[in-house]
Amino acid sequence: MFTWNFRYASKAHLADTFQQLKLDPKNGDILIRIHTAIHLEEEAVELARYISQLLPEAHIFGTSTSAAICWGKLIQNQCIISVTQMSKGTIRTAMLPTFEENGLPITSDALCMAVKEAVISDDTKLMLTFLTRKYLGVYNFVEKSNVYFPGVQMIGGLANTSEVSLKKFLDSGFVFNEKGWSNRAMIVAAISGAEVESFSSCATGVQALGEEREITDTFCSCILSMDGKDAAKEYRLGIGDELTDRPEMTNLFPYVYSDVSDIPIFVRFSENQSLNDIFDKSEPVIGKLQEMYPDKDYDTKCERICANHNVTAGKKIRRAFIYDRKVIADNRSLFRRIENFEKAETLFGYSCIARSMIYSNCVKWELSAYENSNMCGCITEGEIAHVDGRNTFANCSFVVSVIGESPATQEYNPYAFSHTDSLVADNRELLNYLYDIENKLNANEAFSAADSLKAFVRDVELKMLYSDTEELPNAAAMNMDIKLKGYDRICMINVYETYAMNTAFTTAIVDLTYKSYLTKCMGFAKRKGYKVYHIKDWNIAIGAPSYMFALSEFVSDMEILQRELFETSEDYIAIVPLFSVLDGCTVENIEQAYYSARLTMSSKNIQFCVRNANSDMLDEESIRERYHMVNVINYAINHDKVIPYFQGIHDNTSNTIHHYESLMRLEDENGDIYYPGSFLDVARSYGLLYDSLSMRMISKVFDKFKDCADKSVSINIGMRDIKNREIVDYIYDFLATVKHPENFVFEILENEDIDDYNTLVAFVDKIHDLGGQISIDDFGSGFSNLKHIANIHSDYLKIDGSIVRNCTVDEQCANLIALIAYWRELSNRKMRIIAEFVENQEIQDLLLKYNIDYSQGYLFSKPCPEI
Amino acid sequence: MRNNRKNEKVICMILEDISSDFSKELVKNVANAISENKQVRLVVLPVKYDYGMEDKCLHRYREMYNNIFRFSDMCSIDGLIIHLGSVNERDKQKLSIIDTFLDRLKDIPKVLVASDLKDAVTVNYNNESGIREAIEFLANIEGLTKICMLGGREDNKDARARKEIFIKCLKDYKLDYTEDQFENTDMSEDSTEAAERLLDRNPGVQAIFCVNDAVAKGLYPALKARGKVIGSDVMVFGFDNTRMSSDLAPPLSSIGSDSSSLGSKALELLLAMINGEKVESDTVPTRLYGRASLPYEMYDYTPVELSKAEASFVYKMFNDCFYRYRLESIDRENIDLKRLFYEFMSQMLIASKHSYMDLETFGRLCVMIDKFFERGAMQYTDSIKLTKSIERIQVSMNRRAHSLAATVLINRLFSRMKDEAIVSQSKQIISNERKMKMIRQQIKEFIVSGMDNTESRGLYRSFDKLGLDNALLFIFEEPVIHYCGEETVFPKNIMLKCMMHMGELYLMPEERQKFRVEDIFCCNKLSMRCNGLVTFPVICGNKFFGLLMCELTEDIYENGEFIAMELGRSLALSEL
Repeated sequence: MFTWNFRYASKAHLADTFQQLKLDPKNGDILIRIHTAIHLEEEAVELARYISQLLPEAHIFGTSTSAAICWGKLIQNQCIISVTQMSKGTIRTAMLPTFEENGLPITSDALCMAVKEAVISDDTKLMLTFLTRKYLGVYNFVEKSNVYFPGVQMIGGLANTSEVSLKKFLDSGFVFNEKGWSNRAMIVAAISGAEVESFSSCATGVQALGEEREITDTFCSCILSMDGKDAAKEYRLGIGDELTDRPEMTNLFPYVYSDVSDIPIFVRFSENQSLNDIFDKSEPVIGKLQEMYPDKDYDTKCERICANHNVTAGKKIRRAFIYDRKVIADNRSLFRRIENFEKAETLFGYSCIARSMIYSNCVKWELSAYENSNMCGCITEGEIAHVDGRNTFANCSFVVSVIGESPATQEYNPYAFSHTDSLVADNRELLNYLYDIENKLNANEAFSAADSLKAFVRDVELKMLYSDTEELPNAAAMNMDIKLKGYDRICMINVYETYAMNTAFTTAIVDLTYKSYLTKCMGFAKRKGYKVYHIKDWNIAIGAPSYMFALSEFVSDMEILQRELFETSEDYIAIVPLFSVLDGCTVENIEQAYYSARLTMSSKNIQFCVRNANSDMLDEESIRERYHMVNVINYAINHDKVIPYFQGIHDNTSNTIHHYESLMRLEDENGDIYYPGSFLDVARSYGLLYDSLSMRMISKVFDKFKDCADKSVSINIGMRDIKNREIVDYIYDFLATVKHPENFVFEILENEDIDDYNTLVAFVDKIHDLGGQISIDDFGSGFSNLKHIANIHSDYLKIDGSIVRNCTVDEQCANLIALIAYWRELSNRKMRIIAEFVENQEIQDLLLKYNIDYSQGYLFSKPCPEI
Repeated sequence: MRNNRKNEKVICMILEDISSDFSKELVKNVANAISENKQVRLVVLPVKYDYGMEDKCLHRYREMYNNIFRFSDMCSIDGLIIHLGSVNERDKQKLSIIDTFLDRLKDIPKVLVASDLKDAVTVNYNNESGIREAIEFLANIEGLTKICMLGGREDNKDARARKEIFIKCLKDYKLDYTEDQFENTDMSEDSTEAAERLLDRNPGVQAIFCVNDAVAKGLYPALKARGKVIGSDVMVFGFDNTRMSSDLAPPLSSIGSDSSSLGSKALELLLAMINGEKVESDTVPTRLYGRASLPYEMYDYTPVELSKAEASFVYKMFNDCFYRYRLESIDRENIDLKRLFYEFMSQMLIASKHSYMDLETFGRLCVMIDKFFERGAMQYTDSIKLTKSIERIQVSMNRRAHSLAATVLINRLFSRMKDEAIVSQSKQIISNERKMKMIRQQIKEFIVSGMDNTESRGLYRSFDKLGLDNALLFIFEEPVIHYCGEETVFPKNIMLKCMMHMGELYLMPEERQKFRVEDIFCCNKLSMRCNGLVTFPVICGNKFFGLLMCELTEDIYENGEFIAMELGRSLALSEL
């Protein structure tokens, strides 16, 4: 068996592809599936005809769809053609009418017989089946198929088109082959053969809840009553009155037949409709049914619920809802079985349109596991699935068949299942619904209605808000408590490097440690009246509302808990849990706060921190200020307003100006001058702005001094600049060509995080080679690595201003200056020392006492734009 | 030693007679307003109101004591909040130490509380709104015609204003007024004699307005001695709405600030001034807080509101029952009592509305209520007011109740609240008494240990016996001698001899003792989490030894001066 999928581009291209595939009917039966989202009925038939001209023996199986699945990916607005050639097995296709000529639907029994006659043989294993929405007897037909041709797996669904509405049924889907199209017919393709083996199953993500109820009255697909009560009203009471405003919510809360627990039968809710509005009387079958049941009320307008197939009274149903973790779990188990199937030569997959409506990322996510396989299929409106040995009509499902004649494997992508974030995000609608309902229940507006609603919501919450492994409330529950119950003090606890743990220890002991970790946290929280949430794996959170617990007591409790967790016995692995206590949490800020708490903790290597979640949020004024600064910087860059100021550096022996330090200033459109203190941080955080500023500044200073023989200047250079190839090359080029390179001093900021000394040393050496000079700026301000500083052969050393400024009042500062002076003497280096921020004579006298070479500061001159 | 916390502002509060209820209230208001904004350090300099020479000894002590004024201009501070009742426009001619002192501080931003100095930024009560509310209520009581007033000192600006407004309001409501209905007091608790005079003149008095709460405290025994039942025979209301007023029996109705307190308003203005903004004098609106001595309900609960149980109503109820809470700015880090009240009260109201409460909820609500009172809810109200309010709600709920089971549970919760209210208040009283006893005991120990060792070193060693958890003791190298009527010159440096930090005693080594006087208020040694510091002079006779800086605590208002005096005496003894 061999399968190839491709997109239909043009007829010529199509012919070419067929040729390349070397399709030869002599080698085996050929099935050509066409799932089109772009062709109109006649065009589709035309395409089928063209294919049959190319390959007269091929069996063509065409359906319309809203989107196709090709090589395991969802593809919109395309027509997909999938070619399957059998080795030994046979393929039979047929397009059979589902309605009599008089317009009445063919009974399910008759339809089964027709199908059996047309395509089924003794060794038929799998039958692709597509119907259209017009035929409401589809449920019965699929059920009966289990009787008429047992052992034949069925997969398929109801064809739809891209005209989609969840509020109204559209009957625009059709099936086709080379002989024509129809929306009142079905198309089947049976794959048979002694060696053919197949496996089919489905994933829904539906969780059934609550009591069983019996359908007591129906009309076609409309459920009129359950347990003798008005069905639509019961449904609305159970879901809440939101339903009337948001009828699409019915997708989240389908009914399921209780005999096949998790196969949803869809329910649609409409307000104010009579049976005549829903069912077209002119349809023969409706007319006939109305004659049969004349006593039903066809004209009263009221709320209604409908399935998408005929529902029969006496069936038992249960309420259900769809949520992320069930979707994930269902898909995982489906995948496990597909993955282990030995003869995986071809994959068929059909997914539901409603599924992608409720969980927009769901279809893509679940397909991503099959991304490298040859899975081909399409989106349908209702699915035919084979579950637990029975064919059944389902809704909102993802149905997959894997089939083959000889052992083969497909390349799957099981890692896809670990990225469930997108799916979790899709839960928001459901969570928002719960928030609303909870709020209303709290305010009790819906109280009179709500016993069933309460029970339902509680059941939903139990599933939604509890982590499935640990029986603990999960992150969604935490958000809900933050939002509704004022749990604004949250302590996040996490253990990192659990991966390392897994490599060094057996799973049993890791599990034991994990269990004891959780138990300790839970026990502690319970004792103190806090709430524990299980976020993910080792990550848990403890919540406390600020109206019950003061921050100080919460923090000290958490410290106690951390100590308890640290205490290990021989039975467990020693773990280091990280605690971040966040105060003032809201659903919006908690993530950001936790993130920045983690950053600080890892950068400072601490295991416990307390943080106000609000403080990370910039207030409006500072945000505005920041953007204003960005504007100023941009303006300065674009309008040549990066202005170097110069401050003389006074030579204490000759009493002249030895050289100038260049200082950056920006000017805005009003002529206001900005100091580095106000813009440098902003510029740094937008790295590129900083680079442009540096470049402009350096080139301006170079320009001003390149022709001076007798004046030297120093320029501030940061580590970022040194790492910037462009700036460094510019400096090298300049020094290599300028007449007096010795007039240029580069001041390296000592307090910046110098993380790469090799680069720095290389830069220093190169500057020296080219004849320039080096100064170390702000010496003594950071926690300098003195050894590194000693290794840099700088020509100047500038003592940090904060030391100089205080040297007359603070003895320690004076001592530092003495120390630096003495170090120079001791090391016998030619390095000269500069003191900045020399503000008064008192300071200057002290500096002279220690033989400091140069002084810079207001005592001598202020920075100004001219020399 | 420089102030390393560059952003921290040092705000100095100068006020007279720190042990008076009004001063206490004012300091608390300012301190509470600060706790939200940790960048401010509050230093309180309590001074003495010196009204002359009539008692030589006392006058000398006061003059000596008031040397502490000097520290406000010697030390670096960023702003001042001043409440000196004697600084007002009328008395400006009389030169005193205060005037020279104001003159020296003219460059520092400052706000004057309850003062009418023309060229200063002031914060005052809007006396009229509250008094009018009270008189209007009284005027509408059938048959109530005779209202008297116990006024204040003539030199007090507020006292004068309140009298004027009182007379004006009486006129507006067509009530008689003659000077007989008025009597001056010295505005302290020692007003019983004045009260007797007033009562003698007006035997048929039905209501008395006291110029402040302290005066009312003096009035109470006079009324009781005459067998009058306060609240029904004679209604009494005071001014300032101090905490003490709710501790009286029966609790005293009092006029107090409506939205923001004097202290927090003053701080707000001062901080704005420090930031270079231009500010103008402001007033704080007042209203009447009804308690048992004048049964005035500030707010009526209507059955409609009760049945709706909306959030705004529950919060309003909280503001009514815990009328003090609104005026305090509550630290975010502490428990939000208002929200807690909302959480349990709204659930109770809803349960009553739906006539259903499950036992689980009942248990949870019990825990919440316990927590509510455990966390000091009673600080913000008095038990009589609270129990009355609760009863009102209870009655109106029960009237509408349908389900017996739910009603029983809800009523049990209400009685739990009432019990807790009374229990927690009585606990408070008992613990206060114990505390007083303990302090006495501690000081005794301090004196005893000082007897053994007359050297001053030994005295510092037993500094921890004074029962102060956080405190600094600064002592001059040599005691400064003060000569009567002359200005004392203080040296530039002062020694930090010892300190208490979180209940631990630290004796400072010689080389780390020296501080410049100007830095002591911004010294980092006391960077603990405390609401503020109070500074007391350590003096004896004409010797000024130094300063005792203590953390602002509940009992320091009463005991601080006493402890400082004891220290001064011990130091003087050790010198001999």
